[in-house]
Amino acid sequence: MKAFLSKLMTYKRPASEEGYELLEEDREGKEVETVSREEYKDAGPNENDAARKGREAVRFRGEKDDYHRINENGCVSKIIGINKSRLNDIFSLPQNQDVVVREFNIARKTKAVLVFVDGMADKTVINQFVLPKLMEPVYFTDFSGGDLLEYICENVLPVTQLTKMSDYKSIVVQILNGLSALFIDGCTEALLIESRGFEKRNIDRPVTEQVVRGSQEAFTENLRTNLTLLRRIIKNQKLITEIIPVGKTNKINSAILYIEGITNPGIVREVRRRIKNIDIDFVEGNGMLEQLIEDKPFMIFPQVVSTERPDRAASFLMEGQAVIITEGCPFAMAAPASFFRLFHSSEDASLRWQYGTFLRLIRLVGVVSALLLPGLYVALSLYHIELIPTPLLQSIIRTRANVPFPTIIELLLMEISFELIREAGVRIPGVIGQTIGIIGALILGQVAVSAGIASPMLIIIVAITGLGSFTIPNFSMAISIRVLRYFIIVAGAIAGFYGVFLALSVILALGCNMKSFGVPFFSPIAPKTKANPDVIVRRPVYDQKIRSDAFNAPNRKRAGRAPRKWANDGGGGA
Amino acid sequence: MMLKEGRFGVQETVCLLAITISAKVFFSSPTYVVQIVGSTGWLMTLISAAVTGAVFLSVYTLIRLFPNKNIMDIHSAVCGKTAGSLLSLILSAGLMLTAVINLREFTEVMNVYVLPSSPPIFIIYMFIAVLIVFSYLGLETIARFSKLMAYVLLAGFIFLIVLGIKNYDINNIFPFWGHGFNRTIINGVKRSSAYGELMIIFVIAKSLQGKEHIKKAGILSLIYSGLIISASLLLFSMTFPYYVGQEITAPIYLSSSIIEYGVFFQRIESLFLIIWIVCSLISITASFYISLYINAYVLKLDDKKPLIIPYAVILAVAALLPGNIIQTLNIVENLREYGWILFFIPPLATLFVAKARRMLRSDRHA
Repeated sequence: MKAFLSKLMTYKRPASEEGYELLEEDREGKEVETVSREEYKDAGPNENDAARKGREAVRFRGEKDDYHRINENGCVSKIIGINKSRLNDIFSLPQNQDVVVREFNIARKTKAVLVFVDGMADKTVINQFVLPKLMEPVYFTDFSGGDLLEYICENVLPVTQLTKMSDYKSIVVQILNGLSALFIDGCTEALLIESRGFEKRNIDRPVTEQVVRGSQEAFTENLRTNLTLLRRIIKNQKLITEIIPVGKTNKINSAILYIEGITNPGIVREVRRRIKNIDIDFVEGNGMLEQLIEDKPFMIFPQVVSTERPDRAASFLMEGQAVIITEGCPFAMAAPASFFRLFHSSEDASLRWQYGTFLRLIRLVGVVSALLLPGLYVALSLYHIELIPTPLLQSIIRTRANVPFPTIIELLLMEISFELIREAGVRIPGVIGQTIGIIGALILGQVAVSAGIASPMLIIIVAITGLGSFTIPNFSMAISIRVLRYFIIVAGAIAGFYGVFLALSVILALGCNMKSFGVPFFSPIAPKTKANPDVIVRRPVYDQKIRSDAFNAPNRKRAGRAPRKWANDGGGGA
Repeated sequence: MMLKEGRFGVQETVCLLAITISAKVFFSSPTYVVQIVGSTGWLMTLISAAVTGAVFLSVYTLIRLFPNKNIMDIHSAVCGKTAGSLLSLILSAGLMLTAVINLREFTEVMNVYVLPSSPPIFIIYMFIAVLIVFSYLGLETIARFSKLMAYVLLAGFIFLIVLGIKNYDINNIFPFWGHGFNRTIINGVKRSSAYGELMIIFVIAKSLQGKEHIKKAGILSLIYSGLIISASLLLFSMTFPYYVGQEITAPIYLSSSIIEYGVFFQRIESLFLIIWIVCSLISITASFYISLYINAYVLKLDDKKPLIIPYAVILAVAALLPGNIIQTLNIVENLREYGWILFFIPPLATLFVAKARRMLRSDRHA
């Protein structure tokens, strides 16, 4: 209490509020800017040695936790016994029964230990291509002393990827990722053998972002599969993947993807900086990671765009956004995000521009209905009856005559019932869930009207509102609109249209104040920036020649001056 | 730590200023204009805009002389710290008074036409709550919000003009010179403070990127607001004969209420509430916030947020001071007629002193 009063009565200088801003650069104005590879790297103290060892390599953070002990004396020993006892110590063996430490002799002579995690590594690879080759002396007949590890790499193991490593910190993470580590007596390095082979779900159809026309593939929980799905769409050597483990204890891999020369280096550095500076034990997946890296956690709007579609993630990359994919989650998220991008669907691009524009306008109507319709109904029926034409007003009065509740209670009851049906429909699996949704809504609405609890007009309002919220393609955005609707309803009940428009102004102002990775949420409208003609109304594909200026892409040019050259060359036969 | 207002471009500034200036057309000002000049209000306001444009271009020479400085810095640099601060505080007082009067006028109109059963204090408190939120979010957000809403407001305004076509009568704009040509000119000059909020641009000069942007934004704001106000007054004159028009409290609002297309499409004035409410919100918040900003700047405060709630309380209390709508409208008229003292005299006096000093210096060198 004392602290509260003291806080209330005294002034405390606020910490600097200046967050990350994506500012225009000196190169502004050029269509294509040259960006050196160095600009994508971290500047200052966040840079570590591992980050410099090539972009495709797996990187690790300098950590100060459980592995501190390993860092102090973290190199592989020449003596196999020391290595074995260190592995026992690190993996808590023999209590930990997932980790297999297989001792054997190479060519019946040299002692060696193979370590892997049961279930993460492919036993076929180990049983057929690793152990038999190493144990059989026939494969070592040409060996005449020297570096045994080098000899094995070059002549013995028929495996695609073999890496030598000497520090335990890196070796342990790789073992946990499914690789097998080979320690040999007398060698100061361990050999990491690519043997990943865990169970995974096959590529399936998208569940939350279905389209009529377009790709029918969705991401899976496997990071490597997801990266491959993206690489299949963007076959470009400049597509860079950086893998950063997050979660101090669970060390889940998260991949940052971007296209060098298209994504602004500032965005990449900021995404990397935020992910690297997460200090938390457990990160479950993309959803949790999103909450840990977003700009304003207390803002209701989502600050990244999530998608389960590889084609959509690829379009984000091509637009100059950075894409983050986390192991174990069939979703990718793109940053920065803007309000208008949350209403785009991947189908918009597949359809002809007239159809795409029409669908977007329908979606816009859906959003406005979902947010404002119930609030406007309350305001209209309580404060602005003069606006309702007399025949309609008579009809509303007649149907409301038997309803015992005030309009606001009636509306809130029906809205909450509808939310219950929707939540129940989602939680109950499969067909039953869908059936409950439809039947529940029908029966509830019908019975509510028959019982005189709700008026038919209100059921129509609630139904249109529900349909409107279903048209929003982004799940997080749809939830935020559902929540804000109640704010508008209450404002409408308090002060009619005056309350509704003031509440709407507050919501929009909060949105105007928001930035996603330095990019204003309502860009390219507020602030006005140059944009591809694809914000709300879609122009024909060949007219979409530039990338949005809001993301400050070094290469703003998407197409040549005449994308349809054939139309200008005067050809066409005859 | 210095006071920061973020950065915004020409378009956001134009929207912010044009809306701030034009909002007054939705309330009682058109009625008084008709009372003093008859049917030539649309011309009178263009004269006011031209006078303000001349003042703007004169003051702009100060910005050219002192690049990368706002008007408060320039006041202090030219007139000394004490006199400079005093001049800045006069401008701040003008903006605060504008915010107070606009809030009260808005409240009265809302109370008369939209929420007749609600006490004015309820309307004011709701408005003040939102104003506080906006002020906490800062000027950059207010400017962006203006830009975002400009599309909706413009669409609504055009919709209003088009739907009212049935009610226009070209004969109502006669006599063409209203109560006399000279009267129109004199009142146009006297009431130039209707565009006084344009001086805000010199306060936020540092947020705009370069003096060319200031000039461009200032001129465009003046042109757009002049056109909006003039068009509104012209349509009002065409809708109501001048002898009827001078009896109406909020003529543009009433113009929307008489739109009628069949039994179903009538009494749609409530739909246009979004225009009045959002315009007033932007206008009053901008005036209030800039006034607060000038005070914090002059007093060299690092952070203005602790001042927002106390200043908002002062705004609410001051808005409640006029006893009734008649008193409020009298104050509005006095502000329109003498507001130029608060808005134009401080920068023009500074310009005069700067020029005089320069001439003296050049004489000495000669």
